[in-house]
Amino acid sequence: MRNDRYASLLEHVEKPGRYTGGELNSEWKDPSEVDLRLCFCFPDSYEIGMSNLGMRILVGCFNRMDGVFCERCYAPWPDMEAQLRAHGLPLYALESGDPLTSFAAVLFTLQYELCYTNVLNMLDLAGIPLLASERGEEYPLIVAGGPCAYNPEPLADFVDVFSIGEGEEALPELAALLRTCREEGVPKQELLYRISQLEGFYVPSLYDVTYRPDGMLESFRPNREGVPATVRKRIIEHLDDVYFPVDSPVPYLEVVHDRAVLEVNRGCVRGCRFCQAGMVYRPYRDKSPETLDACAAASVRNTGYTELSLTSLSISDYPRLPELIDRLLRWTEERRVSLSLPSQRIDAFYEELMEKVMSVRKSGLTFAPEAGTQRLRDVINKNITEEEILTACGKAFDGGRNSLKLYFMNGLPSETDEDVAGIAALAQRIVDLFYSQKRPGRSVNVTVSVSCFVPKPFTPFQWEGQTAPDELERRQKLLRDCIRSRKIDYKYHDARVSRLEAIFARGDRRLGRALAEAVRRGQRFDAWDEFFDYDRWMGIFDDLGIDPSFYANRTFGEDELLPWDFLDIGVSKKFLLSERHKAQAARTTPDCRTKCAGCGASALCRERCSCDEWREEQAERTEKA
Amino acid sequence: MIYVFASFSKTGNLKYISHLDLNRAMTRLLIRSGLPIRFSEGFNPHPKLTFAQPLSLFQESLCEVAEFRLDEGADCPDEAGTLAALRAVEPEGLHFTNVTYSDRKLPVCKAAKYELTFRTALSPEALSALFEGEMPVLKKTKTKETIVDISPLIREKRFSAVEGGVKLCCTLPCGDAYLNPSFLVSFLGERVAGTRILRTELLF
Repeated sequence: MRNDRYASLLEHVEKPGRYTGGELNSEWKDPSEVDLRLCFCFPDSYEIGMSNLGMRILVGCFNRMDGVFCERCYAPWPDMEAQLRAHGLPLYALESGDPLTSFAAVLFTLQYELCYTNVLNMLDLAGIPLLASERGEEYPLIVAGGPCAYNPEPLADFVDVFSIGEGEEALPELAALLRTCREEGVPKQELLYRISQLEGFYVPSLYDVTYRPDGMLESFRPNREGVPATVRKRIIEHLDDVYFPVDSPVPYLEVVHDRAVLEVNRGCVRGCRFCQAGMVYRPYRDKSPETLDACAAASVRNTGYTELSLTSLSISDYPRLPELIDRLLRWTEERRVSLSLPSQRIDAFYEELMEKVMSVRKSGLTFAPEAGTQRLRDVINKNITEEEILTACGKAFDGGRNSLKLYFMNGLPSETDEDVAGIAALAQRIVDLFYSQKRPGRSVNVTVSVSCFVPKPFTPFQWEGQTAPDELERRQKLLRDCIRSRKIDYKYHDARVSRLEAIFARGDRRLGRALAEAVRRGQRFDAWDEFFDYDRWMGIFDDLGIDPSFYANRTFGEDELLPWDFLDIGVSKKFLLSERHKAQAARTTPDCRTKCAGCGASALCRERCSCDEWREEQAERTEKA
Repeated sequence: MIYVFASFSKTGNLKYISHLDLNRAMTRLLIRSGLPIRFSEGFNPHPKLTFAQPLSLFQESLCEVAEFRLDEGADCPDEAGTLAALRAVEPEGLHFTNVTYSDRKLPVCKAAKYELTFRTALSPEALSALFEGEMPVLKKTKTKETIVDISPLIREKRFSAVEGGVKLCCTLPCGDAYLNPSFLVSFLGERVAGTRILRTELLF
């Protein structure tokens, strides 16, 4: 930060390093010499925001542009907010210390529904009117994107522009348009229209929504000629060619993911029916080991990190993983850099790989069976069998591991008490497996971590109502009673937090009022236990005449117009529906490599597609034509 | 193996960075420097790094000293080379001023010189008078709170007028009898509106 207006505040807050910027590798350009100033905001704490790869990528994309300077801002912790408000000072960007109102555009990444109140609170702290309709030409353009933008409607009243899909190409296009329009003095209304003409941008004020007497959506259409009825998400076709930051800011404070990160692939070939990421990031694309190795080396060189983490929705589905690991190990061991691999799928877990990575540092092992019985695993299309789970665990134990973490979900569609008890039984069999062989001096620890199912847009389960919190809590207690072994640790999520998440995940524009009211009543950092207040939220819905069950717990009609139907993520609604029906019959769908399920996402790739079957089909079609 | 004493300043926004965070940043800096750093043995190897005298949050310094070790060999530069390698990777607010090689560890730091700039309406004389008598402050440890007279610990006091306040140059003990300069500020309490604390020299 290049000014000391805030110095007296910083002596009175916890971790002042959150608010000063100036980290190693942070960007600096003279604001008086650039022609477009942007501020990228993360609506959660500095420690969470600095761990976010997407934000690092996009800030880097802007700053690579000549004449564009993109600064950063993270949600101030309540102690800092109190200081800012007490001194009447606005929220500012870390690099320059200038208030958010000094920027042409302020961009938010939406990682989680429970950050929405922070988005509004940050605008409020910056002295920016919350409602888009109340912001004149003098205010920055408010832009939002990220995973939650796949249902942008709850924030439609507040955000001028949503970026749908991957932003590496789209956002620089937006910046270029913004710059031209500012030079030409184009008024905001016209600017918004021009943005709506770019692919992958949704301008909520250009669409009108009507509702039926029963409260369901009746129509959703553009209110100006030329505005597209459907907004298609953007993707990057060739990941090897796309910008990837290898000189990101390195925080002084200890942040959540304090390590160098390599993005191995995007999308997932699996198709678990509850998983939003598995659908919205389709089609599957990956980077070559050569690209990744070069990025890793540059990252370590530029940051000094001694830990390197590979990120992926399902790392073991990366076909060239052994080759990548070999390449990395050629230099990481010598340079004392440790590797970590996330989200291992049980069926693809192999010993050799584990041993290689373990030779650097032994890290915890996590598997996600998601459900306790084969029937329910088939319903959700988690294509693994109990035998595969036990084999993988056995290998882990033989490889010297003593502790395992298993992820499950309660409240999945069609879950019965038998499925709940199945979680305990599976964990018990894993413990028994450990003791089935003599392992002198060792004891086992199995952590069972159970979250609550939240129906998400653009999944085969988007229509399913969420199980009510009381019933979820009953199942959580039932599971606790089923667990007998002291070798099993049991953790579960707060069902009421998941309900609030479901309300906003499947919400529509009418929830905007509730968000604004919640912020007015002091709600923020809802994702944090210490600030989450379910009763206050229910009070707000009640006072505003909003029925939260309508959004969270109702089973949506298959012919119902959904608030996010106007977005095209590549995967067709028809496919989602057929997957839902297969789930109801407990029938599985093979992964994309085994057989193309015809979801439609490959059509997003213009030149290349990772799915052979689809490519053949396209070729045939072209021939016929 | 060579012991390296690297002197550096820590100023500006780095005063908001704690000693623990600085330690981590310095470790990463050493790795980025490409110098033949000696790592610790064991399962989680890391550069062996110590500091002459930790600096508290909200304080700046012109004279910090970090000690780390280099492996002697063909790729080990001389003192000037090491200084250049460190400077090439230093972050904003941290600036290396000197590098000295030694065959033994850093000696114990006995005392430190400070410059405290008080924003106050008091004159240097009035402030000086306050420092003449007993100076009781409350020292807290995990288990107990005691009132301590810090007056005898403050040596070589010099007061002078500066714009908007008074500057105090003084020497405070390090080691077992360490006195954090923030106690001088808490002693003055409401009489000063703000204080800049700058460490100017470490005495070994």
